[in-house]
Amino acid sequence: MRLLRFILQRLFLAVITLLTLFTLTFFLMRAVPGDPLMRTKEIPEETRRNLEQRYGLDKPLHQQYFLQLSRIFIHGDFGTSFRTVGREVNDIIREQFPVSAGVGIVSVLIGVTTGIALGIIAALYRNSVIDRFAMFLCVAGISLPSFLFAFIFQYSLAVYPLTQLGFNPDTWLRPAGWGEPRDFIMPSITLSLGIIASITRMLKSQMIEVGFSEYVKTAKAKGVSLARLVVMHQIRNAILPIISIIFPILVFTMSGSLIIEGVFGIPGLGRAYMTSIQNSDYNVIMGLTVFFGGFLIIMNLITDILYGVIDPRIRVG
Amino acid sequence: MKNNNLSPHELTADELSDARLFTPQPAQGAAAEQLSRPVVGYWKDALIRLSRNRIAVFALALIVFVALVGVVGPWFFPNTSDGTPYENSQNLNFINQGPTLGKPVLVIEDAPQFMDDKVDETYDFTAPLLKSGELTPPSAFAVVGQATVNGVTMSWNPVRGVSGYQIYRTVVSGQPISIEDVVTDAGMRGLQVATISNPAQTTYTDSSGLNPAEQYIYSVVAYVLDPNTQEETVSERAEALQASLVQTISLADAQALKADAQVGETIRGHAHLFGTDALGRDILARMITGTRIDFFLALLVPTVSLLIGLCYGAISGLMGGKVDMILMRIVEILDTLPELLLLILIQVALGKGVGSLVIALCAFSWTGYARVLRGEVLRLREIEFVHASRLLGAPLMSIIFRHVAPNLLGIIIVMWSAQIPRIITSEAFLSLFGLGVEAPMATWGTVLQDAAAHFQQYPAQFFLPASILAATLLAFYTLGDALRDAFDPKLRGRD
Amino acid sequence: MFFSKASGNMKSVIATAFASATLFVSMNAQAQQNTQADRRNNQEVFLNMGDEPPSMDPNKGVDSVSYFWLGHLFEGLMTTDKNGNIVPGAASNVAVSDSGKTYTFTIRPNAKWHDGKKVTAKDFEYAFQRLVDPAFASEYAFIAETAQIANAAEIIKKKKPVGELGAKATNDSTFVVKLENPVAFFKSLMAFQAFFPVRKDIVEKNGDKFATNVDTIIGNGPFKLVSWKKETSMRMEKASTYWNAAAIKLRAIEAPVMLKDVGAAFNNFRTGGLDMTGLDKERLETAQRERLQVKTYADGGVFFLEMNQRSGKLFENKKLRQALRTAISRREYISKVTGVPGDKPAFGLVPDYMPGVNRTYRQEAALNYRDGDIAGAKKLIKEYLAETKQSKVPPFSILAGDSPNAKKESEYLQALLKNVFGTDVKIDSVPFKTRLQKQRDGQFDIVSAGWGPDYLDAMTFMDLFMTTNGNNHGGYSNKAFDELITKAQRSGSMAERVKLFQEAEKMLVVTDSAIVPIIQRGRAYLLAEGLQGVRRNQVGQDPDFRFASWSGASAKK
Repeated sequence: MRLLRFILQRLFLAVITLLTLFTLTFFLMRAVPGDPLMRTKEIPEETRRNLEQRYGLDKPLHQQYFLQLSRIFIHGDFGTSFRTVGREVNDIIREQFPVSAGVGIVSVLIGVTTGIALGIIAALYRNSVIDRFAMFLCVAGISLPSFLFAFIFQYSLAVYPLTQLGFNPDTWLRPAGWGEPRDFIMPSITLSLGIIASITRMLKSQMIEVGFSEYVKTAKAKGVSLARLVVMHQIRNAILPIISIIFPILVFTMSGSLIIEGVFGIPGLGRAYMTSIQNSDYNVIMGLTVFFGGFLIIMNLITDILYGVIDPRIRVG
Repeated sequence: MKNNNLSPHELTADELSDARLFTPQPAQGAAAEQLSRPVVGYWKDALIRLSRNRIAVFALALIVFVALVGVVGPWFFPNTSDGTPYENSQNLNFINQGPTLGKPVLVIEDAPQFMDDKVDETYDFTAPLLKSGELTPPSAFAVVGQATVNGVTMSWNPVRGVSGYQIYRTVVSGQPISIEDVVTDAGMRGLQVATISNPAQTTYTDSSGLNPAEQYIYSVVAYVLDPNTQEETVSERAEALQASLVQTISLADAQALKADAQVGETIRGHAHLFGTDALGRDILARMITGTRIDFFLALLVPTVSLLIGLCYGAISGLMGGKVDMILMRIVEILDTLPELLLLILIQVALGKGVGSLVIALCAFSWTGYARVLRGEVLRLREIEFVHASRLLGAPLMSIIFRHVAPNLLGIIIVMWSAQIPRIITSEAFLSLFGLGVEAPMATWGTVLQDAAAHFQQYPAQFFLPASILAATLLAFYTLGDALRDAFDPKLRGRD
Repeated sequence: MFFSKASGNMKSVIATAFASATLFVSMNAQAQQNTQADRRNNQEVFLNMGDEPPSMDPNKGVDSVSYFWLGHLFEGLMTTDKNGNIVPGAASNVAVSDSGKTYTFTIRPNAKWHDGKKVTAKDFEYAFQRLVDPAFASEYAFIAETAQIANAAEIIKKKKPVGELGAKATNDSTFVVKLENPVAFFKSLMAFQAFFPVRKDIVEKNGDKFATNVDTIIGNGPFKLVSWKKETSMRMEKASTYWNAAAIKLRAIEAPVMLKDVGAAFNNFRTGGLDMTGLDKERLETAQRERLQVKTYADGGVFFLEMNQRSGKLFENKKLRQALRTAISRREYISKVTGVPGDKPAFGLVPDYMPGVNRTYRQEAALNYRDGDIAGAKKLIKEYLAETKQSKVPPFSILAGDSPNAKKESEYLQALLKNVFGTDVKIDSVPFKTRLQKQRDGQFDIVSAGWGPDYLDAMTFMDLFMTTNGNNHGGYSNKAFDELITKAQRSGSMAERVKLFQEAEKMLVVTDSAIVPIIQRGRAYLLAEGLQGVRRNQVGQDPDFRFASWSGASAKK
């Protein structure tokens, strides 16, 4: 009952948060130099006026604000793109979000499992070769740009086997393309590197800290088996801060990556977001921002509830 | 009470009665409390334990070394002929070069002189155009003078009855190729570098994007353009030649190296340990000058955003309830606002420079800290000593800094050292939005970004600076871990 | 190359390592027959256009990606042949009145839409009216003004109703266009996408959804659209309804991916996943070492430095502008900074390929002056300092884009100008739209700008710098220049126009030095061997695959 009240309260707050987000974004977009009708080749003045009228950009700002507000929050319609003629923002989200989300979830799965495994090993065998290797991986994963890894994977996993080893292009990984299960592999691995790096590092440090806590010592003294000690005592407690970063990572990864989508030819949202900002495509920017905002809010809510489940010491609400 | 000094065997009555065995100690008063060993405080203890960690000491030494090189290094840069700082001095005769200790270079005039194309004045324009089968390539195709990285001039004897010539260029390295291949196989001629639409022209200078490390095979064919249909016919065979290029240096630069250098002489050029970039600037010099800004940002930004994040997260976590709700919703909004728009806006409002760079970098990193630290505080606030402190009426800030922060030290140091690499990569990213340092000033981020654009073509340009960056970051990480161990009293005596 | 080639032994080890993974991968991959050899045999082409077309509505399309698709799906009254000559397209015949102001087109009796309906003069009338309709607000409406179609300008300004446009279908097969002034290049304009025919019934049935999916795009050109997965792939196949279908050899043209990243597209090409893709300077040598077929072409763009000449700005001073023009060495810029073989120096504003009377405009109206002359530039600056009684040129800034290339180019300029002008030069690098806004508001000293042609005539470049032109960001204003261009706009004689343009161009570039033209941009691309007849155009659909075909049925490999 208490949980239900908590959730309802948060959902109510979510609406207010989204409205604030909407308002801030609305004015932010218009404060930034440039507008949707600004092109490298200037549109002649008369045509520009005609276009403004067509898109309703000639109306006073407050009218535009309330029009868009009611369209989004009452009718659930994000409008159409200014750049791609006739493309509805709702369609962009419906068609392209599942793509980004799919790649994102797969890479978070890879990243989190590998990261947790590496983190635990690195913590249990401190200063060993594996620990040093994991550390190096972390530095590389965070400091080197992801396009570098994208190209390295694209070359070594697709171009090299196909051109030098004579693999069958029908069945082997292709350098870029979308539509088949195999197209998930390279982008997901590339995206997971950064995740592995952050999780390994964080988990390792948490594991070490927990390892010296009284309850672990007590458990050890009681003669709890190593496996049980690590799993039930150390990991369970060390994983709490990880949860607080996993969900932001998940949201971030599911929202698509411009570079990964560009290199592997994936029709995700990362590209759409970047293009919309470059083109001051007001409707698309607003649609994606509000959509991601809602998504993040839900994810944060889940995080907070999970906190309570995993660590009973924390009361939600 | 049992005397512990007694040996395990039973004492005899005689022994027990011998009073001399027991001499009472005189009362020592304050002396009993005297510490015979030197006092080791918290910080000193941490320092001692840190210094025992050999890897950490090495990491620290590396960081100090890099910082020192950054501060002192620029004093030792060579002078340039026009007074620009060495790291910004462009040498267009020496672009995209690999690491070198000084290659032989040919001294040329200060500005490379480009020859005007020569024309055969006696050419007969009235001759009827040749049919496709009769087309032959121009003869006597040869390099004129010295082929340098600034240009390869070639000449030929014109052919009568054609519309003009096409010049092709390919590289010798890679898949095997011979002159004969180029002569007979149109597919092997490579890139068409020029179409010469004047059939009387007899020379051409190719200068576009030449790489001195390559040898080139040039070839020339004649073509006929049907004036009515615009249909183009090309001679089947080509004339071809092979050219290797000489690296050059301008006279002024040469004289800076060797006072009596003359045009036409070959001297030993500058050393570039890391090679040069796309504008012929020394990459090592750019890395060294970049160190100052990068270290400044790397130390300042994580600290500032950590402090903000810590206060915010701790207040949110400790106050709980409505305050927590509202504060976390604000973080949510900030996290979802389109980052790029905000960046553009910061740029418009604050302009370029280190100050706006710090603000922009902090603005996007503190929310992450706030979220994680709030989670930790939620856990800590249920721990007894925090409860106790609260009950005793300690003010919020004192709880944060006395009880919460020290317990978060481990995670804080880890997050702090993890942010440093992000600072360096995002610093370069922000320079794309007009928020970075002012060009041509170099930072590690901009050096890497410039090189990243063509890392497949010139890997050394990217991977040498990247390895310096990676080593430094690894040092920061290692040091961060060691600090965490050293500062955490719970981990005492474990190394 | 970044990865060295593994030795034979190593290869087999790697091959075995990969083999196990193959098992897994091959389980979920559907057998898809799309290798390059298959495409050769089927006369199919795979290429990368880099992006989704922003609009597939002929009256609206504004960029080269849209134009590529539209140019294959539709056909205007006039079209180009395989060598680029303007020839009748959907019209079989065109008659021009003696005054040069009335064009009468006869629609081909066998011209058909992809759904089998006949192409009629009404379809053109509808498209022309739609183009200028203020309610529809096409960004290319101005092209009807350029074509001088009667009443177009007034209709766009809402001063006359759409029905009064001087383009009328007198019956199903006759289409008459009346002009206000004779236009020397009118026929080539009629091949332009904005003048492609549009079906009224389909537009009215679909409203805003027109031309947004396969079902609502019905053309009259040699290819028909068969699939369009947004942001993923597009495919068109040969249309049997096309009147000249016998001349079309290719069976299908497909963009299997939309890769913006040149490196990724290059990797796709190497593995045979594409038959054509763009190439940047960075990968030229790698491609050549692998003996791939690299070609270059002029993409039509001319790049120049624009100086802000508004009053109160530094470059209001002519001497300084001339100094800038004198200082820059195009040869050095092209060979060292941009470094793309195919880039050509631009001394004038009008590029080399623009037609003149008999030969090209540039051959008939040469424009040359000395450049790369640092000493000469410094002399001009000394004169400026003496005139204005200053000891030093005030500092100024270069407005630049945010791409790596823009960064490199502006840093090169910065170093050069610092040396020549002896003052502090800053680089103001900003995102795309910020740059456009600053250009429009005149918040810059020097900006590197470019222009691509809308149609095949020098006018598309020359009218840019008229006082009233919205793209004249530097604020150049010279009455004599405006008069010359206005005269050329009203003249139907190419010989007279070449003279007028030559005088105006000299005024703009040399005397006033309002702009400093630097390069005519060239681009490199990869083309699969055996693929012939691909045409690269500066104006019109680019690349043009209509007359392309694979030669030799079997693959070389």
